[in-house]
Amino acid sequence: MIVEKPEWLRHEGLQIFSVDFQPSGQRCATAGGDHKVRIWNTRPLMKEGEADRGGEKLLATLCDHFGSVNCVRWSKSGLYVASGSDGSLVLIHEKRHGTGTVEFGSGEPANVENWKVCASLRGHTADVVDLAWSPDDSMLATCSLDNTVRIWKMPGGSSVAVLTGHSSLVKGVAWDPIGSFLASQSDDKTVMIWQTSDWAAVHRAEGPWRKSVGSTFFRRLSWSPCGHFIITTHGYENPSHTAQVLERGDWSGTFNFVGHNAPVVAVRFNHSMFRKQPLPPPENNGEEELLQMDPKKVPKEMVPYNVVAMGSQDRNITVWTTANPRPVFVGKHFFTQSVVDLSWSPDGYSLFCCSLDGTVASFHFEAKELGHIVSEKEMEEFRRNRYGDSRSRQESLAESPAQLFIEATAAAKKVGNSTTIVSNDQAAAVAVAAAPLPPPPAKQTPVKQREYRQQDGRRRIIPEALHTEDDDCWEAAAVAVVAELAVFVSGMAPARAKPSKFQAWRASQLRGPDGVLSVQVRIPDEESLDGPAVAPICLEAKPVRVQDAAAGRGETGETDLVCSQGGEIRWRDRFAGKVTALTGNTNFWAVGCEDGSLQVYTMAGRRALPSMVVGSAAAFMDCTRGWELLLLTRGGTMHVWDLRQSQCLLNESLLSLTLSSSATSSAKENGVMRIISARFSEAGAPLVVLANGHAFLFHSKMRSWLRIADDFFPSSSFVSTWPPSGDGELAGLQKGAATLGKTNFSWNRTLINEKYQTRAHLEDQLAAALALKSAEEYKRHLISYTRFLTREADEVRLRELCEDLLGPLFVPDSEPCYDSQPTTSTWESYVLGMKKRELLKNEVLPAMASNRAVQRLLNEFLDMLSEYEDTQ
Amino acid sequence: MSAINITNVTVLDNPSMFLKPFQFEISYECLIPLKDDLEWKLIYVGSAEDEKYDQVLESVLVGPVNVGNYRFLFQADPPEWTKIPDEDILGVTVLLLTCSYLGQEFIRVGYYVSTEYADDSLNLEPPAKVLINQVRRTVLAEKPRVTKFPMAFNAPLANEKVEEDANNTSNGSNLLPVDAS
Repeated sequence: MIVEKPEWLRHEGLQIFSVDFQPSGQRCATAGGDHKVRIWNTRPLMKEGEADRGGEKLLATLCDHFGSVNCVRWSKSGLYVASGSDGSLVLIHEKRHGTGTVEFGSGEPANVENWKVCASLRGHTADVVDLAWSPDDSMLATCSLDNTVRIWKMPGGSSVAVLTGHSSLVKGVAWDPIGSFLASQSDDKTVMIWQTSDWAAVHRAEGPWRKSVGSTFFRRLSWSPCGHFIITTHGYENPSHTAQVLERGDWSGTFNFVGHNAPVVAVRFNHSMFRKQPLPPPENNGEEELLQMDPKKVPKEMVPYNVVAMGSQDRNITVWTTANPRPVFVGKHFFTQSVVDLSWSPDGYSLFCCSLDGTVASFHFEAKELGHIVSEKEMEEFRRNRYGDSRSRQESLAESPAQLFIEATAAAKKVGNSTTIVSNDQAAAVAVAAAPLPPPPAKQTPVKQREYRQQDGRRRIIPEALHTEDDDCWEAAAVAVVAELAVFVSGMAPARAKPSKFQAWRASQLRGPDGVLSVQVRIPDEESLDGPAVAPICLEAKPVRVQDAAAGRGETGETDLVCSQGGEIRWRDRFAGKVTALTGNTNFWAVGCEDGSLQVYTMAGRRALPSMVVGSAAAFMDCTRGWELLLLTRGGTMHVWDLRQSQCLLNESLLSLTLSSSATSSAKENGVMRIISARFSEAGAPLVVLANGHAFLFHSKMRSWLRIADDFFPSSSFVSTWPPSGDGELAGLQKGAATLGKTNFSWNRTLINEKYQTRAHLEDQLAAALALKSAEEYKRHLISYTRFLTREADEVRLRELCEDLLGPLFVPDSEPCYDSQPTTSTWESYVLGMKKRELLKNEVLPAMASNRAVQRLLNEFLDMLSEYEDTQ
Repeated sequence: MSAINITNVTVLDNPSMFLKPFQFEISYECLIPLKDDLEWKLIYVGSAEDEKYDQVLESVLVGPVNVGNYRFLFQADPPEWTKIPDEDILGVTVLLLTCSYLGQEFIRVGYYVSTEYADDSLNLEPPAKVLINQVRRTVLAEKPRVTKFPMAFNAPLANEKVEEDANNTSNGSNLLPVDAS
C-alpha cells in the first residue's frame, strides 16, 4: 500500500468538504470552504511510476458558489459535476469546448479546461449538504438543512419531488444501485427509505442512531454495489461508535461496524465487489459455471464480498470487507481534523479521503490487500440474477427486431427529407453555420460596437460578439429565424396576386394596367392541343370608345369582344353593357356583364345560349376543364352549371359565410363582404376565399361550406414552418390565410397552447386536405400528424388513426371501391386514390417508430398488417 | 450562479491626466440569454469618508444579452473635480465598476486609483490650490477586487428566448411589417 498526501491539492488551506472521482478515472473533483469546486487531473496522483505523472494538476476552478461547497459528485456518465453549497444552491457543471478562461480578479491561473455552469437548481431553503446521482443519471437527489430531500430530473433540472418526512437536518443521501430506492439519513436520528416509483416513504428506520451524541457535519451513508446493504453513519452502541448496516427487504439492522472512537461521518462502498482468488482463466468458462453454481457450493475463496471505507470524526480511516469482522486497514494520524468524504477510484484500488483540515490523502491498495476485483460484466450479471433485468423497466428499449428495423428505415428516410429541406430555403442559415470560424480577434483590435441613445437619453451599447463555437451556434439559430421571417414577408406577394398561376388550362383573368376598363383572358392551351408551341387564344373585352369632338373621349356603354390567337383575330363581337368577368376553356367562353346578364359563346364565337339573367353583375367566374361554369354574383349568390347538360349543379347563397366568425371586420366592411376569389378547386369543388384569407370549400354531397383555411391556430408549431411555395393547393390557401389574416402571430407561445393548437391544427389540415382531395398534402399532413401524436405518445388517437387505415380483416382488395359495397362494409380501402394499408405500412408506422413509448402499439399494428397480408 | 461572468477588463489609456475620460474595454461571457439589458456603471469614490461624494460617472445599457462572449468599450467622463473635497483630490481612492440586471447589482469590480501630479517637483511641494490640469491618475489595473452577489436570473426556457429576441430585433429595425395585411 502506498499513501500520499499531495501538498498541492488544496482549497487555499480551508476545509475540503467533499471529494469524488470521475467514473472514467481521469479527473477528480473537490469542494471546499473557499466557495470553490476544483477539478484535478488524477494522473499525477496515481501510483504508476513517475514518468506518467506529467500534465497540469489543476484543470479548473469553479467559482460560482456563494458559500462553502459541501458536496460534489460526478454523474455516472462523467459529463456533469453537481455541487451543493451553503445558501441552498445546487449547480450542475459541464465541460464545454475550448480552453478555460481566467476567473476575472480571482488571482487564480487560467483554467485548463472550460467547465461552465449549465444549470442551477433552486428550491432548497437552506444549505445543501449532500447529493447523489441516480444509477442511470436521469435524476439527482439533494438533501439539505431545510429537512427535505429534493429529486431533480436531469439534465434539465426540473423538480421531480420533494421528500418531506425527516424532522431535522438531512445530511446524507444514497441511491440504490438497482434504482428502486433512495436512502436518506438525518439529524432526527432516523434513516428513511423512499421508493423511486412514487416517492413514497417505505421505511423509517430507528436504530442505534438514537443513542448517538454530538453533531457531525455529514451523515454520508452508502449503498453497496450488490444492492443488498446500506451502511449508515453516526451510530452509537455503548461503548463504541458504530456504522449500522441495514439490509434490503425488511430494512432491519442486524450487524454493525464497531471501532471508531468518534462518530462515523462518511461511508463509501467500493464500486465493485472483490473476491479472494482471481477467477480461473476464461477458457475454462469458469465465470459462467460459477454463476450457475449453487451459491453454497462455490468455494469460499470465490465468494464475492464488498469493500467499504469509513471516515470518522476521530480523524481515522478504516477499510473493511464484508467477509471479515476485522478491518483490512486502519489509517491513523493522517489528518488533524475530521474525515468528511471518501471516494474510490474506478479501478477499485485507490481511495481518496478529504478532511476538514484542508488536505486530501490518497491510499493505493493492492490485490493482496483488498482481493481481486469482480469485473463490471460480472457485477451486471450478479445484479440481474438477483433483481431481474433492470433494463426491462426502461421503456426506451426496443422490444422486437421489427421496431429496430422500422426505426432504421425511418431514419434513412428522414435523412433524405432533411437534406431537401435544407437545400430549399434554409440554405442561407446552413451556409452561415458551415462557414469557417473567423479567428478570434486579437486583443488590441478596436472594439466594434454599436452605440445609440435611447429615448430616455441613456446610452445603450450593442456589444461586439467574440467568436467561440457556442457563439456561432447561437448566431446560426438567429439567422434561421430571420430566414423564416423572410419567407413570411415574401409569402405575402403571391397571396395578394390573383389566383393566376394554378394550372395551365385554367383561364386567368387580368385587368389592364392603364385604368381603362378592359378585361383580357388568355387560354394557354398547350395541354389540350398536341402541338408544342401553339400561341394562346386571347379574348379581350374593350369598352368601345368614340372620338367625339364636342364631348372629348366618351364611352358608348358598349363593349368590343375580340378573340385572337397569336395576333390573328379569330372572331369579334360587340356587346351592350360593360363586361365584369370573363372566363373560358377549350370548350366554351363565358362573359359576365354589369347588368347581371351572362353570355356563353362556343369556341368559334357562336352565342351558344341566349343571354342568361342572373340578377346582379358577375363578380367572379371560373370554369373547369370540362363544361362546368362557376359564377359568383355581386349579390352573393353562387351558381354552378353544367353547360353541356344544361343543368344547374348549385345555386347557393354566400350568406352563411357572412355570418360565420370568419367574416371578421377585415373581410366585411360596411356590410359588404370582400372576397378575393371564387373558383373551382383543383378537384372541381367551388372554392371561395375571403379578404382575410379564409378559404371555404363547398361540399356537394353535404351541401354545405367547409372552412379549409384560416388563421385560428397562431400557436401551432406548424404555422411558422411554411412549406416551400407552390407545394400544394391547401398550403397556398393557408399561406394566404396566415398572411392576410390579422393574425396575432405571437412569438410568446405558451407550451400548453402550442400543444393543443398544434394537434387541432394538424387534424384540421388533414380533414381539409381530404376535402380538397389534395392527395399529396393529405399524405404529408398524415405523416406530420402521426409524428406529433407519436411524440406526445397519444396512444388513443394513434390507435384510432391506425385502425381506420387498417380497416376490417375481410375486404376484397380489388379496384378502388368508392361506394361499391355500401351495405357490407362502410370502410373504403382507398383514400384519395392511395391505398390505406400502403399508407399505414409505408408512412404511418415508420413515423411511429420515433418514440419507443408507443412501440407496443406499433408492433400490434405491424402484426395485424402482416396477418392481413397473409390472408390475401 | 451567474448568467454573466466578466472574463476580462482592460483599462485603456492608463495612466492618464485627471481630466481625460476613463476607458475600459470589458469582456464578458453570457451563459443564459436574458430578456433585459445589462446596466454597467462606473462610480468614482470622491472621498473615503463619505458616500455622498460618490459620483456616478456613467451608466450604460448593454444588450441584447445572448449566449456567447462579448466585449464593449465603456467610456466615461472624468469626475467633476469641483465636487470632490480639496484634500481628497490627491491621494488614493477607489473606482467601482458595477453591473446590474433588473436594478439588482450582481458583480462589482473595485480598483485603487492613485492621483498625483505628473511633475514630481509639484508632488514634493504641492501648491495650495490644486492645479487640476497637472494631475495624473493611475488605475491599479492589475489588482481588481471582484465581488459577486447572489442573483436569480430566472431565465425561462431557452427556446422561447430565441424567438422573443428575434422578434425584438426585427421590430427594432423594422424588418418585419407588423401588420401583414
